[in-house]
Amino acid sequence: MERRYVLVGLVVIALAVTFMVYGIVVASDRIVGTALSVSVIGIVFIIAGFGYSEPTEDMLKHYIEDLDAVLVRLIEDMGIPSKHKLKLCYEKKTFYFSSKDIECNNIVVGIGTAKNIPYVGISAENILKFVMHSVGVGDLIDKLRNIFIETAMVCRGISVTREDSLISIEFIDLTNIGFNYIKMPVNPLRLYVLAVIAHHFEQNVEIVTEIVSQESYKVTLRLEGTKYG
Amino acid sequence: MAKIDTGLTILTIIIVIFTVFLVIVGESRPDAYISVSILLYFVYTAMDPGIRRYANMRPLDIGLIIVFIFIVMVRVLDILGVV
Repeated sequence: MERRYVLVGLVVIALAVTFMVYGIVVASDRIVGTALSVSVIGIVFIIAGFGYSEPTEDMLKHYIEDLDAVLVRLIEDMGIPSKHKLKLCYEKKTFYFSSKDIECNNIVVGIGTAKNIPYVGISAENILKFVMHSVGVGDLIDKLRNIFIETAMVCRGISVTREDSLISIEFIDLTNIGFNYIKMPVNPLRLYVLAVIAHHFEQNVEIVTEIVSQESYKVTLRLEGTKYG
Repeated sequence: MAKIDTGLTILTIIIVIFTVFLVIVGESRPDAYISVSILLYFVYTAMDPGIRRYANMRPLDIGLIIVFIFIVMVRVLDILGVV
């Protein structure tokens, strides 16, 4: 979505409506016709604004799918079960997949073992940088809406509940894009959820549970350790 | 300026020019104005697919085709004296 096109479209439509009302009042078909022409321009802008996406997004989508397949293979080969632990170490800016909890100090990007527990570490530096630039300042719900509804369009509603260190985020009314993400074994959606939460609280975050229903996706996360930053 | 900006600007200019032309020739049927705008949209986006490359215009295409078919149908029925 590109807001400026939507804004231009709305202004043009407002102009067209004004023209149309004036045309009807003075009973001038020419003015009504002109207003209709102008309204076509406004509608084109609005639809272009709502449907806007960078062409590279399509290319990257396929790349993510292939990368996801590689990552799944890597996780399987490391003997990490499908019900793995996924955590974002905020200070180290690293996601890791493992079968058991590992202290963030022992994690590095790549594959390795810490106290005989195998893990796969992925850099979260760019995702955190993207989140930092995209979400701005404000409440957690505003940040989540900004990323997941307005930027990524993965769902149409988000609810957040917090109980001590546990945070539950429900993505309501998922779009096709959202469904495609949660179908993927590594699920890029949860990587971004972790990044937004870690960025907001400046703490390590791990995923506790995930529930997928027909129209929504609920993920519960736990904040851990000391606050950085 | 992004390619879609150029495309939208050119389309706007073309529609404005043709609308002014219709006003000058004294066209008084409002449906003629909207039909010409719709045709210009399809002709321009067919020649320069820049807008379509960046944005999903399918919902608008369907909507405009329906409006255009409706206008033509009403006009044909009017000529035949049905309405």
